[in-house]
Amino acid sequence: MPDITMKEKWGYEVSPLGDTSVIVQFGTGINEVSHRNVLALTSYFEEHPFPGMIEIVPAFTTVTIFYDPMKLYDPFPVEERKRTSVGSPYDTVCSILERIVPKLDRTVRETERVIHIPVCYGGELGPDLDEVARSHHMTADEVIEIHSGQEYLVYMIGFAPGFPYLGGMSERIATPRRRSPRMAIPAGAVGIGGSQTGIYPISTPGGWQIIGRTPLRLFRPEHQTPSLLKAGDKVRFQPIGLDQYKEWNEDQL
Amino acid sequence: MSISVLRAGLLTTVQDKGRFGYRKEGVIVGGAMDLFALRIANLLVGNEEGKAALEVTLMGPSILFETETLISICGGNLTPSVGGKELPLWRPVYIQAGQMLEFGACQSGARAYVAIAGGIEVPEVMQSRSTYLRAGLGGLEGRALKEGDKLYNGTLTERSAAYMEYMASNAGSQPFQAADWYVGDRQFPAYAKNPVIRVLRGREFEWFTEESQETFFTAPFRVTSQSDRMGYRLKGTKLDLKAEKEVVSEAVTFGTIQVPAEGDPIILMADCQTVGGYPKIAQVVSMDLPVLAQVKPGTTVQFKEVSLQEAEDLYIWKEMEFGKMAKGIELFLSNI
Amino acid sequence: MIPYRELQDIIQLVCRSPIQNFHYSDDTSKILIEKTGPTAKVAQEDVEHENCPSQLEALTPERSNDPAADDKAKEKKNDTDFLEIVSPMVGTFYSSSEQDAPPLVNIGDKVHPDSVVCVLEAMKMFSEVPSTVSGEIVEILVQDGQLVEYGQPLFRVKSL
Repeated sequence: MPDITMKEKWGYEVSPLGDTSVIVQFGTGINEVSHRNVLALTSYFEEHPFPGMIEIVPAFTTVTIFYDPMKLYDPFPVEERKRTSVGSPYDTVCSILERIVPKLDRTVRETERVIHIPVCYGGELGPDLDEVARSHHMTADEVIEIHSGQEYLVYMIGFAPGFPYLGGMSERIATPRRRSPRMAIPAGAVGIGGSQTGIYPISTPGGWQIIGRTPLRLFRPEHQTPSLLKAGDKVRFQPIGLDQYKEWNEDQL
Repeated sequence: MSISVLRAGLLTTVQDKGRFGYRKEGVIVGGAMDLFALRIANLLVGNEEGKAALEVTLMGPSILFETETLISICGGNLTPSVGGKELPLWRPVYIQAGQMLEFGACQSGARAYVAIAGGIEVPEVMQSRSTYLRAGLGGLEGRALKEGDKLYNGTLTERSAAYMEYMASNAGSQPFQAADWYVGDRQFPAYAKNPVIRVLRGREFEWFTEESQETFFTAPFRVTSQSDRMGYRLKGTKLDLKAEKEVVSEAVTFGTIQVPAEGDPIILMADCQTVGGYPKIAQVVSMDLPVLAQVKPGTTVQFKEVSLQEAEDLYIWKEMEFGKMAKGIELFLSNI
Repeated sequence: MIPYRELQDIIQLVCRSPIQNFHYSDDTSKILIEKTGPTAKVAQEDVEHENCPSQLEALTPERSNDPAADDKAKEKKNDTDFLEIVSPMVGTFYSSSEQDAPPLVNIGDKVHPDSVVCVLEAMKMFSEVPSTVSGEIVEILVQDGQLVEYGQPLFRVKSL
C-alpha cells in the first residue's frame, strides 16, 4: 500500500506515484475547496520551484510533483536506512511540503474569462448521445439542454494537449466511461466520463461517451500558450446545427 | 553532414529525452522509449546524452550517409549493416561518405537508437526535439520519417570531431570502422525477451480484489499487438475491483499500470497522456522502463513487487553506475 | 568531482598502459597525467620481473607505432614453440564478449594476429583484445572475472 501520511491539520495526504514523483491530495471530492488548495500549491511551486523539481501537474484534487531523485537524495541518511541505502528523495519532498502547505495563500482568485464553445450535438458527431439519454430515461434534447444550460469551471488541462477537465456538470447526465476505450476519438469531440465533461483537442484514444463536436481548436501549437483554455477559466457550451458546424469548418479553411 | 532516408522502416522517429515543463498544459513528455540506449548512444559519439537521435522500431529504415559520419547504434539488435557487413552495437562506428545503413531481422529487443555525432538537428518545439506523433509536433514535421526525407546533424563537440578524425585515419578503404571497445551487456538494464518487471503498488492497489492483487504478482501477462509508444495493452487473467469505482482524474506517468473496467491492464509508455482516470494497480520502477521498451508484442511480462525504498535505491545506484559509464566513455573517446 | 576510487582507477589504467600523456576534463574536474622516463622504467621493470616475454606485445596493433613488437614476438618463437598473448591493460578478464555468448576462443582454436581472443573491462568499458600472434591456443591462463595486470600472460599459443 502506498505510504500515505495523514496531514489532518492541513487536510492533505502525500503518496508516491513512482520513484520520481509524489501526489499531494487535498480532499477526495471534486469541489471548489480542493480546487483552491490545488491552485494555491501549484502557483506556489510555479513561483518558487525547489532545486530538483522538474514540473507539477495540477488536477481536480491533487498536485503531482515530478522531481529528479539525484538532486534530492540524502547521502548521509538516517540510521535505519544507513546500512544499505541513501536518504529517500521522497522523504525530502515530503519535508518540503510540510514546510510549505501550512503557509499557502488560498485566497480565491476571481475568474474573468468566460469562453463560449459551439457544439453540434448528436448524430454522427455525437454517437453516444442517444445511449447517454437512454441510460437516464431522457430525450437527447433534454441531455443537450442540461449540458449546455450551465457554466463550467476549468479545473485542469490534461489527458491530451489543451484538454479541459470541466467541473459543474449536472449529476443528472453523469454517465460511466465506456467499458472499453475507443482507439481513436476525433479532435473537437465533446464527451462525458462519469460526472465529468470535456472536449478532445486532438485525435486520441479515450473512454468517454461522445455526445457532440465543436469546430473550435482547443490546442494551437503555434501559439505561445498552446492551450485555448486554462485552469480557472469558465466555459459555456452553445448548441449549433450541423450546417453551422460545417460552415465553421469552411470558415477556417 | 546530411543523411537521406531511402526507406522509412516501420516507425522511425526523431527522439530525445523528452519534453518537460508542459504536462500541466496537457502536453506529453514523449522522448525515447529506451532512455538508457538513447543516452549511451549519444555519449558513444561524443554528444551530450540528451541529443536527438533516431528511434527505429522492429523493422529498420535504409539511411544513406552523404558525408562521413560518426554514429552509434544501441538498444535492440535489428541487425544493422553497412556495405553488406553487420555493424556492431553499443560502440562508436565511423561511416564513410556514400555508405548506406540498412537493417535486417529483429534479433533482440524492439527498438534501436541511432545517434549521430552532433545530434539530429530539427527545430526545438517547446524545448524538445522529440516527435509527438498524435499532436503532429516536434521531430521532423511532427511525423515518422518517410522515404526521401533529409536530416542534418548539429555541430560536433571537440571530442566527437577528434575521435571521428582518429577513426577515419584507421578506416582505410573499409566502408566503416568500429571501435574495439564497447558498452557490454554486463552493464545493461535486465533486457529479456519475457522479462520480470519490478513495480511499486499503485495508489488504487487496495481497490482490487485480493485474488486480483495476487494474480497481478504471480500470473504472466501477454503484450498484445495493440501496443505502441503510448501504452502496452496486456492480456491475461482479468483484474477485478472489489466494487465498481471511478478515479478522479490525476497525473499518470511513463510506467503507470492502470486497469480499465474490462479488467485488462495497460502499461503507460513514453507517449502516455499526462493524466488518467482508471485505477492504478502499480507503477514500474524507472530502472525497468528500458526493459519494457524493448519488449515485443506477443511476448509476456511478469510483475514483481518492490518497496519504495528499494525502488529509490535502485534509481540512485543506476544513475551512479551510469555516471561511471559516462566517464569511462569519455576516457576511451579521449584515449586516441 | 571524480571520486577517489575512480581517480585511482584512471591513474592505474594510464600508468599501466602505453599512453605517455593523458588529458581529461569535464564540468568539475581536470586530470593531466604525464609519464616521464623513470616511471616508465619502473613499469618496465615490473613487467620484466613478472617474467613477461615482451611488454611490447602489449601494444594493440592499431595503436602501435613500434615495429619492434613483431620482431620481439619472432625472437620468442625461436626460443620455444610457445608464444603468449599478454594483457594490453589493467582490467577484468572475460572470455566472452557478452554474458551468454560462447567464449571468443577455446583451447585448440587457431588464431591470427587480428583475432579477438577475449575482452577486458576497465572503467565500465569492454575492450577487445587481439591475439597479436598466430598459432593455436593451448592454454588459457586466467579465469573469467579475474583482474589482470598490464603485461600479464592471458593465453599460451603454440606457434604453427
